[in-house]
Amino acid sequence: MPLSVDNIIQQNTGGFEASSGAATLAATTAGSVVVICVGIGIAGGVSTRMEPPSGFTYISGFNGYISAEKTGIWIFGKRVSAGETSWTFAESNSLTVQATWVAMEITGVDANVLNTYAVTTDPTAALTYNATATTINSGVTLASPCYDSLVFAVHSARNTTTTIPTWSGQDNGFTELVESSNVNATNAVSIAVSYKPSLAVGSYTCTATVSPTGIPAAGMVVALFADGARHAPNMDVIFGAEMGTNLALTTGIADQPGGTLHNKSAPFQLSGGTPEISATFARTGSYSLKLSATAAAEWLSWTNAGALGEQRFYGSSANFPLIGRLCFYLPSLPAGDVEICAAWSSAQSATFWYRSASQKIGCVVGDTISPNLGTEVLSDATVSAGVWIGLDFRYDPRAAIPVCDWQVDYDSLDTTAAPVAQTQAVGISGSIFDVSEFVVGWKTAATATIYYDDVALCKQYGSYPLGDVRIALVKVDPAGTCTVTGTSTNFKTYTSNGTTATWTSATTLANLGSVPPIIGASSSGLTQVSVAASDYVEIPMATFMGAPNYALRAARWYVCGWAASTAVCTLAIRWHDGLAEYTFVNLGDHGFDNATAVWAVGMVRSAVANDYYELTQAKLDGLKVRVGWSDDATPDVGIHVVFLEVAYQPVTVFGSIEAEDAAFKLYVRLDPVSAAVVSLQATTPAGTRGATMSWTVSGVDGTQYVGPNTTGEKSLGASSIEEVTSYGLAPDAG
Amino acid sequence: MPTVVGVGAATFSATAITPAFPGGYTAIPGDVAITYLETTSEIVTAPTNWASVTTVATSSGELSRLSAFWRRLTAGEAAPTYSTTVNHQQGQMIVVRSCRSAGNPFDQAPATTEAVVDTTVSIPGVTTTFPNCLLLYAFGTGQDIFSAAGATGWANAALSNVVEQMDSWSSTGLGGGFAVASGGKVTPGATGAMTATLSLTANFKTLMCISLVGDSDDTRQPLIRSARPIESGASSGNYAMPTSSTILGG
Repeated sequence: MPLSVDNIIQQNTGGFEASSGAATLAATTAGSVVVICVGIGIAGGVSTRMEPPSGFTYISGFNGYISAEKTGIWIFGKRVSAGETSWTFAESNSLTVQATWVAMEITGVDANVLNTYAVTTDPTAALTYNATATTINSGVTLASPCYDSLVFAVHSARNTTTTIPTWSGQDNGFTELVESSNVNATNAVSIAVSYKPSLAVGSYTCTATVSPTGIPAAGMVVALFADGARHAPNMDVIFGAEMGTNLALTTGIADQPGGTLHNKSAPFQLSGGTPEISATFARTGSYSLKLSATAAAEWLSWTNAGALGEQRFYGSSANFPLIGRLCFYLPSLPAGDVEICAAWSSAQSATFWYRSASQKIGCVVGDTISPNLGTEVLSDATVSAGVWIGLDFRYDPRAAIPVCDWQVDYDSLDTTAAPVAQTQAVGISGSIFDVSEFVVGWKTAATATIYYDDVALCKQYGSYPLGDVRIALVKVDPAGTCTVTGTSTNFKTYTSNGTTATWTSATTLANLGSVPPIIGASSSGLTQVSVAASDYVEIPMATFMGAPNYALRAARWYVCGWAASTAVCTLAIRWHDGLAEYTFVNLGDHGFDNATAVWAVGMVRSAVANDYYELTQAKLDGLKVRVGWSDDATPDVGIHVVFLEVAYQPVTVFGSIEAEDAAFKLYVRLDPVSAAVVSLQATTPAGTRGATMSWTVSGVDGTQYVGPNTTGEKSLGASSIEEVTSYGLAPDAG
Repeated sequence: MPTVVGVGAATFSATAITPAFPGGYTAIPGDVAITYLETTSEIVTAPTNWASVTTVATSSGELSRLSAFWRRLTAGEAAPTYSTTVNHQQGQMIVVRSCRSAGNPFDQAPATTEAVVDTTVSIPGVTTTFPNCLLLYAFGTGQDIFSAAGATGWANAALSNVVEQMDSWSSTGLGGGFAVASGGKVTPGATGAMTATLSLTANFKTLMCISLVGDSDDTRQPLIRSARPIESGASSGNYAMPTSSTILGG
């Protein structure tokens, strides 16, 4: 059941005027989470901080001091045992504070990630101060990826009279739960706690009105996740081999000085052997990755220094789980054992093998160097040649004993066959390590040929299993129109690896749409020819329609740079999703020339860690790439190809309504991750009676009549459960 | 207008159930029995000689499916058994009299879901085209709880005699339950939504409305009747010679 106010099984309020005090509840139930919200008032100019009770952490993430302001908020949390009733907390310097508190016992909350979707450690991000407030905002959280949250907004105020501040008008769907206050002879302080259940990803913020006005006030917002909630995967990597070429698979621009979280680098970081992009077999699109060797290693990988090293969710900058999905194809069963893929974390790893003796997949976790391995777990069934096998895994090296959950889809293109969960593989006790590399292929010499396609990786524990991810190629929009911001003569198109021509939109699109890309004598593209640090060309991308049959997941930019020579020159690349611009490649010299392919590859996502980027249909439709800003266009510098790989997933079809012995049916097509309604399909019997489909999307009702003996379809394209609040089917009167 | 004869006891199990007739009731020909069933998401097959009215399931959150089956009863027949191989089922039967005697006893049975986690219940109605219809409004949730008070405050200003007929949740398996209320619509027209409050934990809901058409108001069976001389009230006037139709319709 989704989190709701009913998960708050008890609450209490209180206050004290001392250097410490206790929050209390009736005896707690084991496994609940107790949340304590504290608002304080103190004489101005004194640095003040409330410390959490023993065993509690700062949910709010704010563990700093309130200085020069006269009110502050802290939020603490802890998973409790049975029978707990009282928790003492104190001011860090034993200063006397006028405090008021609200304590809540909440069931169903994931206590492992309490200090995440909250304010950041920078209090100014979501804890705002205002010395003379009428309304006070809580600040805005980063975008949460969780599909089941209970969000709290806390507002506090201090009055230098005995009139207790009161609260009202909490907006954005928040409902006030309780207010608590503390009045002494001269001052009054109060807090208001409001809640909002949420089944959607995204940011949270709440503004409340305080009375009386013109008094110091503060606000804060935190999101608690449901235990076991599904999380939207914020992909670090997707790969579908749609580049169609072996060109520079591990050659990319250098990491940007100062770093932003886009991983502007090559399609892969490292390789061994001679990997090949092949058109022989493809699970989706036109290409796959072919690894083939005789008694030798053959592999490609992404590393912590590259694609895996950017965004981290929930906590520390190291020690993350790795969740992945890849599909592989054995044209014939190998005669010997061969590694399929592996997630490496220094001395520990999770490795997937094809075992020839059993013709099964084996998963083993442990130290392959020593070696000191855990017990290998074999798949429950044999694998077959000639089918695309899907492998989902979650490797978690964060504890002293790392583990790997996994499942196998023995024929990933057969939608009637569900993946089969396998026994968890357990490693050996040892130090905790970060995932440093994900390897596609085998580093141990072997004789095998394996094709790979539709690979996706992320680091969110709750996103496992990723399931059936498919990847499509999206090129520039041949029917679109490029625009120049600035002076068009600062740009030209080029052909034959350097013959320039007056810039036009049509030629730009034609040149940049050449996939697979070509570098060399016949290369064509777009180039900036004059210094113009504010000028750029904007190129629209084509799109991929999700609804009615697919849900969008992620997209990855692929850009190949070009310059007329090897001399230093600068270029920047950005992208725009119709709502905001994002920096992709910082201005700088990226080593482009006219003979060597150099990639800039990066995910379509936020530049901020812990900030989930939701790829909606509108955003994908609005994607444009911007190239320019050169402050050194000698030699001419630009790009010769740009495209996207877009990850999508087939919807889950659910038969929701059947009327009159299934004569009339309504199917709901759901996003397999969010369970959002992507589309509806209704069928009616032969005869004279049709039916009316109905729905409510974002508060707007809609209907569509489906005639007799007809199939009707309605794309809704929702990205969260909350968008579609009802759907139904009403057969004609009979 | 159809009338409610009675409601049987709620029954629930992880295996087969036999929702009973109302206490003391023996099946009378022409009466219509409607059994409501709540399951996790499984579509239950109608028993022999019974038919499905409709079934509706939530597609997210706590999964729950609400189904309704009907049967125009024959003399003395027994209540049927519903089998399930998945988790649990809960069922309850209502018997209604004076429904139209041919074809489906209902003319409309829309079903919807509400994907909002709250305690507000609003079951969409229909626009009746017959006079004197009996409306059965039902909703279900998948909460795992034993309760006979899951719904309160049934209301529909467009209907007469709004009465709660069923209200039962169980914690068998993953649990679930439903509540049903009836009301009469004398004049054809929009019945409007039936509202209520979910007294249990806020949840997604399955919703359905069944519009039962009365026997005397079913225009597919025109009632042929002419006044008997004793009813005319006049001592003079033309006397209509009785015919077979007037005798039968009289």
